[in-house]
Amino acid sequence: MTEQVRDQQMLLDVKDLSISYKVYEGMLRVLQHIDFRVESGERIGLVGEAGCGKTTLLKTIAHILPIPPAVIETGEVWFKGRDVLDGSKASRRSIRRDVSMILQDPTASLNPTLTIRSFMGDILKNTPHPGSRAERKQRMLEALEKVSMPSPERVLGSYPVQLSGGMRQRVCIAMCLLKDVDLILADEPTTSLDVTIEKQILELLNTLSVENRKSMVLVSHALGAVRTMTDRTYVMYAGNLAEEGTTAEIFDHPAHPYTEGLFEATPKLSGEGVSDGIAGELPSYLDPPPGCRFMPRCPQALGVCAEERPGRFRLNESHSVACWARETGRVEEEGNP
Amino acid sequence: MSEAAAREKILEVSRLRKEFQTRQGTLVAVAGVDFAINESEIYGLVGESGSGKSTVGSMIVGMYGSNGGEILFRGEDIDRPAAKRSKELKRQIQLVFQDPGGSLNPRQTIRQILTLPLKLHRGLSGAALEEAVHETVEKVGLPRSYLDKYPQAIGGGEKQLICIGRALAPDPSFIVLDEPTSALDVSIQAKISNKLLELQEQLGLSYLFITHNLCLVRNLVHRTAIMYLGQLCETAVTEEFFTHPLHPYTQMLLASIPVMSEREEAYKPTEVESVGEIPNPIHRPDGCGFHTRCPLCMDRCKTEPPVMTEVSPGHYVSCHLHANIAAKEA
Amino acid sequence: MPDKLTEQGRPRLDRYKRQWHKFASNRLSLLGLVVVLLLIVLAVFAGKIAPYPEHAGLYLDFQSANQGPSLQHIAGTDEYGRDIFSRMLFGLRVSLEIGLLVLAIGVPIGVLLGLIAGYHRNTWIDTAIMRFTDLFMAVPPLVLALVVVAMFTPGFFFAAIGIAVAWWPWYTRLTYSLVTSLSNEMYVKYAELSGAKSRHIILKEILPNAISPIFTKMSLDMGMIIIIASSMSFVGLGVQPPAPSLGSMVSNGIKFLPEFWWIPVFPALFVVLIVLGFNLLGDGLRDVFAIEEL
Repeated sequence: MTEQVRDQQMLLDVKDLSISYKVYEGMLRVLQHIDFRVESGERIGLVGEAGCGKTTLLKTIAHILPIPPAVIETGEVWFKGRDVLDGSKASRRSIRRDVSMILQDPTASLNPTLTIRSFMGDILKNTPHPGSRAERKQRMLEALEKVSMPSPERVLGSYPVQLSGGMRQRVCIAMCLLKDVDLILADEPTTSLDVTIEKQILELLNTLSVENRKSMVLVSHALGAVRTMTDRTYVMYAGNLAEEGTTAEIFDHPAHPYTEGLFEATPKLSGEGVSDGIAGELPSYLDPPPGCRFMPRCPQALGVCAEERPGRFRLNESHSVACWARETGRVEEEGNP
Repeated sequence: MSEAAAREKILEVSRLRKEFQTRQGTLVAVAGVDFAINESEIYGLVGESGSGKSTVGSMIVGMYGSNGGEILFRGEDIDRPAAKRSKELKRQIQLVFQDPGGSLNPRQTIRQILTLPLKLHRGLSGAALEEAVHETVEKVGLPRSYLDKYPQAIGGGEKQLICIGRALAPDPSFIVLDEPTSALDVSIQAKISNKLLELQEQLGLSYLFITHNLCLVRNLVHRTAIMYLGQLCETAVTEEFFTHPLHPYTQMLLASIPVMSEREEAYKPTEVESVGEIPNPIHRPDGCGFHTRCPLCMDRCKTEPPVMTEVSPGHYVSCHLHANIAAKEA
Repeated sequence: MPDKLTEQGRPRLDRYKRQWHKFASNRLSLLGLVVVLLLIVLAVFAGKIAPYPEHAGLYLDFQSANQGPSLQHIAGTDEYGRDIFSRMLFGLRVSLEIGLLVLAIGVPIGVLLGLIAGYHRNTWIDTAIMRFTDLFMAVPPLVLALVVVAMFTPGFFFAAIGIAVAWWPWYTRLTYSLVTSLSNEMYVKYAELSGAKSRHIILKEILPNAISPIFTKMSLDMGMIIIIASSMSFVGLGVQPPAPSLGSMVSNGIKFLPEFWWIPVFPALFVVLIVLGFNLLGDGLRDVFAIEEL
């Protein structure tokens, strides 16, 4: 949890976003009515398994979603007061300048035929004050030092293939720093790394985001990482938001049956045995059920769950859940924060 | 503990070594490893990249032979590639890989995929073959309708179930599982882990379960071993391993796992910071492979490789510090 | 996205349907397919479609010689009064036949050698086969074909043999690299570990996964083979007169430029059309097979 004073300035506000993909068999309804917000300086966790739509959401925010075959059915994405989806050059530029994405596989993000100096140089040359060559080099070295990179000089002259996975990921993070972005989107940044390195990288991300007051969205299936590094968490299932709240609330009092099932299915260091997992499988996205998408697998399903999509119910001021079984009184309409 | 000692050993590995020649030099993947697995036991082998755990599994399964040491399967020396092994041996030892997508031929139906081991290892044909194919797919909990599908039509978890079925089809006694659930989602991992446990109990199988996921191992395996840079650092019964980790690397690894509850935090050693990177196995440090990152490194560690010592019944550590302690107490 | 879409009915049929959809979504590939199908129809039914089928052989009618394109002769007539359009159709048939014959001879030999060499890579078999292949590849295809023809007699059959001799090495190379990379697939390793016989591994595990790129290459090659065959007849070592051949029609017709331009130009354009059709088709196939399933 952070002690920073949080300004009320909403950095990112996703409203009622629904996205589908056009495929041979029809339309895959990948995201349904997602509301998602990030305030300045906040660290947000996004939890969900494969197919839940978290990568699609991030790509939409980062403006790298391939628009055909993707189709934006409804919704808006506001970033720093600007509608990102309006297609204008200005909004694209705004995103490119102030948002950075760290991908799961650092190898894929780095062109193997260019040296690290080339990447970092390109970024610096496109900032408002590129400076001289010597100044740029200085800034590159500083960025590498900030990410605790051993032998930064040598690294600058290396090609990505000469660096280890952990070092490549540090380079990606350093590139974010160079760009001086406002929002870092980290999509499973440590999944391809070893556990001991993972810890170092997560700590690094944490420090940087806190120290430099950068907002961060951390997508990770390593629930422990989300627990220790985020202020608020969203849980997604099959393209829908299952629940959201402060991280402490979500982890200590998970409300959605999916979240409960997910936490229970995660093997624990305390040795509680192997859980049964969550029975069933993801629903079809082509022909989704009219009601709650989790219903076929839900141990607490009610009759209404099959017929109508649950709205968001507020459990307390820091926790809301989209589940009929937790209905405490619908406070908000779909689509309004 | 005496129970464990009295059980028969299904697999014994001694001083196992494997080197690979690369352009930059000799890569020592496995640098002298000793361990044993009992009948009907699940043995977990944990390690990060470069630890050599997959190489150990590959040698046991017969992908290639070793460069030193021996592997005994029920007393029989099996240290050679599968092509040189007897049919019976090939039947007894099976393998489940990490990537279910890559382990199944996209141009074959599930039926064809399951038919191969049944034909090769059990010599079945005709009606008996068909029945065995049905039995296999049912044993892993999948419907018969899956038999005529292609692998691309089924999900990752189910593909892995097919791989497990394929490993079970020959009626083996020992299965090497190399990261069988790492490519799957948590909720599906649990289902697969469950299935594996169920089958192991039902059929009395022995598993060598290779993974980097300590939490998984904590809940799934009877005994745990940890490898670093080709050496076995520590091994013990799982409960003991996790409640009293001794090797500094084990402690560092445990301290690094992100856990999701306070209750689990209590199980993490607190005094150990994670520092440094895993060295390139081509340029292995002398002495103890871990000494470059070890907070308790002594002079001896830099030059002399440690030896596996039993520090308490069933609990072995490969570390000079703990060998000293054990010697003093003896 | 869940990696399982609802599949009804037979899985293989579904796969073909999906591949067709992917292929058909590219206009150019469809165009290529249409062109090739059209050419096949024209070639097979040349006898019925050609307005003057008898002009395909020996025919003299100096009254009608060197007439420009008209309603009776869409592509005009040549110096012997023969209808060029009819001759083009029969020439097309000859070109396609040569292409098919070359592939029928060259591909099985090339692929077989590639399979054997690839499966036994890093042994003497591999070295022997691949160095032998290199030898043939060192000579330009046209030259090699011409040499073969010159050793025997010029004509349809030996032209095809000649080109096949020049062509098989490319299939060996392609198959070799496919086999080598496929051998690293886990399912192949599994079959090896289980003790499956080499024959099973090569034919059942590896080959089905290698077929697609081979087919693509065959389609892309048709165009090139036809050009080479035409070049051979251009220099007189291919199909011999009076049998019609697009290449010789062009070479003989060149001297009539620029007045009787239609004599070489129409056959030349036709060659372009044929090659384009096969190339587009081949490109389309390559795109379809490039990314397998979801």
